[in-house]
Amino acid sequence: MDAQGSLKWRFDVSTFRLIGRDLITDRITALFELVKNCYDANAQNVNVIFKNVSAGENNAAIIIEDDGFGMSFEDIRDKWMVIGTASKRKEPYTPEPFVRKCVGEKGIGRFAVDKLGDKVTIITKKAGAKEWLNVEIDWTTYYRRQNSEGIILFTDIENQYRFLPCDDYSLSGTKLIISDVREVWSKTDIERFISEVSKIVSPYANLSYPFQVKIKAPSYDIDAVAIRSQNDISIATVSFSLGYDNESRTQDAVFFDEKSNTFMLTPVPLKSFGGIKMTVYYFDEAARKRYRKEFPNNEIDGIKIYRDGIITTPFAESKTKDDEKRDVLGIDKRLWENIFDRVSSREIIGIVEISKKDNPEIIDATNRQDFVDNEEYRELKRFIITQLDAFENFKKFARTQKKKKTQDTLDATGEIIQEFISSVETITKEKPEFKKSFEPVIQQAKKTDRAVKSVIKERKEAEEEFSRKENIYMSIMSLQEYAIHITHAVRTTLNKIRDRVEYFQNFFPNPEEDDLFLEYAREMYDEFMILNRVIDYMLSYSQSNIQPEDINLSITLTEVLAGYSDLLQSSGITLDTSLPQKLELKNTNRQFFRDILQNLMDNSIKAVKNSEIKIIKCTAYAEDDDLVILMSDTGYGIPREKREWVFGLYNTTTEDQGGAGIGLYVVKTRVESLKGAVTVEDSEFGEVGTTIKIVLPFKK
Amino acid sequence: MSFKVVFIDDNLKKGLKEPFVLSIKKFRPQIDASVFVDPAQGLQYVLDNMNSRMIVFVDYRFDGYGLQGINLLKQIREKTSLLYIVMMSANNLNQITGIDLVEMINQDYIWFFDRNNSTVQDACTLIDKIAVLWDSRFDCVLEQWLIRHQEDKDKVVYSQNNKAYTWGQLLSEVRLQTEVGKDFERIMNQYCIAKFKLEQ
Repeated sequence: MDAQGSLKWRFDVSTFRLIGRDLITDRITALFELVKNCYDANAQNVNVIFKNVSAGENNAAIIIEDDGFGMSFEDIRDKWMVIGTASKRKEPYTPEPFVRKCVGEKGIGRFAVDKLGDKVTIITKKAGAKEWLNVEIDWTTYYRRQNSEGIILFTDIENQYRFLPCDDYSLSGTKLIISDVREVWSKTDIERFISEVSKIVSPYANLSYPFQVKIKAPSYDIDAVAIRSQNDISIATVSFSLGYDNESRTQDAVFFDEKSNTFMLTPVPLKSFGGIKMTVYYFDEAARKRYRKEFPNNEIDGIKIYRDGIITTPFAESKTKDDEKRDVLGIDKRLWENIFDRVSSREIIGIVEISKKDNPEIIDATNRQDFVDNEEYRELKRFIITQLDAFENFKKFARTQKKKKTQDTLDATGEIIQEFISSVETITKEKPEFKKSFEPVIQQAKKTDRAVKSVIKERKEAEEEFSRKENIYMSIMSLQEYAIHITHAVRTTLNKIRDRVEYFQNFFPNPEEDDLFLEYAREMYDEFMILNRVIDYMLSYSQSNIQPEDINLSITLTEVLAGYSDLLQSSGITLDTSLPQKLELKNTNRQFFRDILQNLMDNSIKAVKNSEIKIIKCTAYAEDDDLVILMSDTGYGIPREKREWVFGLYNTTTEDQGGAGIGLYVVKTRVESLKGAVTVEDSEFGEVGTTIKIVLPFKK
Repeated sequence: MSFKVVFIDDNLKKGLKEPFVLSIKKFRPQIDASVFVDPAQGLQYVLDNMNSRMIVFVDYRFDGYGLQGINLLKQIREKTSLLYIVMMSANNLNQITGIDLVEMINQDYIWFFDRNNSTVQDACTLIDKIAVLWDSRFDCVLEQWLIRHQEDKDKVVYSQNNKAYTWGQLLSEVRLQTEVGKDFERIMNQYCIAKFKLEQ
């Protein structure tokens, strides 16, 4: 190797442009790629300096310097100048002791410099080397010569290198000086870059050999540290952390326990996507305000997925408007369903950690904006969203608590006033001479007492009114589900009949197809029978009564179940019932019972649709002061981690069968209106199916 | 010229006994029809036969399957933009979720077939319409030609603004309707007309 000379690119410019254009869509992503290269080089400190990049300044440059392991002459010649070098694919992890998972897997990050400026100077050195290597690359040479000399190959361009003296041989690192910067970098651009870099490494994977990025832009007085630490997000209201265990093949799932007011973990079998670690912080309104104040550059922006400690998706999104950011995990899509209880990505910061080793089926999409859409990724998304239910229940609980606290304060105020009045009255009894002086005070206190009592009464009435309206709303909602169910059933049936009629119209008669015509005729008859049943079913629903009354449980249950006999028969489902004959419930709501049973039946029918053995079992018995109803089926069951979740509005495990997630919510609200409780239990049928247990007190 | 028409719909009968499919087959005997009830199997068949001329009728909703019509659409489009996809639904367009609708609208060469209000004849008309487009669309012709001449795919054949393009890259430029793609398509069309005129 000569002390100085030239290096040539070893790929053609069109390849270069193609890769650059396809993979690096904007300047922020380009610069982000270069910072990732620093990470891959085991750097711990990176400085990104923007010099004279604002409008009207001259000699703009962007400098990226790191203390990583640097490059040798051979590295530059054989890797830098060659496209898509596979070194990082052969060695997926960086050298000991860091053993970081390489980020620039495709080996194209360095070509990002072209996106930023026309010239780049690389100054680099490995530890122990006696000189710094300085290579100058000028893209404009290519364009200049092409204009003056006609077609020339990119690979003919020579890039100059030389060696620079060095005092400390132990130093290592790489400095890229990108000059002739093509575009102005505004303050917002740099802030967006900082925001993206801040998410590059999970604070939970950045502990042993921390990666630090400092960003300076004197033009805008920016001097920031970009990487987040765990402390940065300790201002959250509540949080939970989930892990997994490959030995026992279990994954933690979370639910919110109202009794203990804590988040509880429960182990569930490992999912198809493999074990994941997940930490999510929830910020209530006050916490969000604090966060905004402390991290004006950062937003509370939902859940990010890190693979082997490096962010994977959404990949360094550089959208300034929140609305343009994509909702890769689908967290915000659910907001319209229930704006008050759903947790949005503006309220949580989450870190999901996956690894190449344990989650091989979660595959980066080539555009780096999402993962490849496969069943494992879909299940991962579902799992993540299900866990957020714990926060949603926490939110509801916190709201109820707040309401209760207000009520308690009001009650206490009433009591204090009463005590005050009685104390004053005692005094005036003992010392009648004070009576005259105290009279106005007592009158005022009594007036206040009346006002407080009136507020308490109004509040109670308002709550009852709300509850009544909610019940009406739920009745309408469940009707809507029936309507969807029925219209879909009617449509499908009508289409089948129409297709057959049309065939008759077009091709009848044809002696060769007599058997086929007969078959179609029979099928049409069957479809008409289904249509009839659907209409009967709808009519039975319309005959409702919401007045309190005494009901015989056995008769009510039998009535409801009888409505399903045709459907059960045609679907090959066995119904097994065990109901006590003499069980009367006083002053209850017949319609609520019907709603509960109908929704449970609908759920079970959907669940067993694809099962080999189709059994639905309904048992009712008295136990102490309670009525217990068990509804079991041999369907595909409810995963353990979803046992709480399924009772939430719009949460469904039977989406594919047309479930809209209203049924079990209606069951829960109805059961609770009757002062009872509903839970998902281990299936009576063992490994298959579901058992739902309802406990209703006889005395309310 | 014969071509494949694939129906992927869980409400259809397996085989060719479904009146909807059978009627189409009777009205258009030249088509080679197949029916798949399981979306995964249907998708596999389509991907395995991508080099054939094919129209794929896909149901929007599959009850009890992980894969939905929209997933099939996306997975087919990841591999080719040549296939024509007809999305069928028993629901109206306004009952399809906004996100799926956007996804569908943004795809090329896709039709929506309303199963409630359309007849077998409508389906046949749609098939005819697609068959005509097939033979006339520039990118379709180019892709079919490249399938037959794989060896030419990486040959540089065109340059513009000092940049060289291979046949394969040009196809992508045409599909993306970039300036280069549009220019190339224009030049080729003009060339063909001129050549045709000369031969007259």
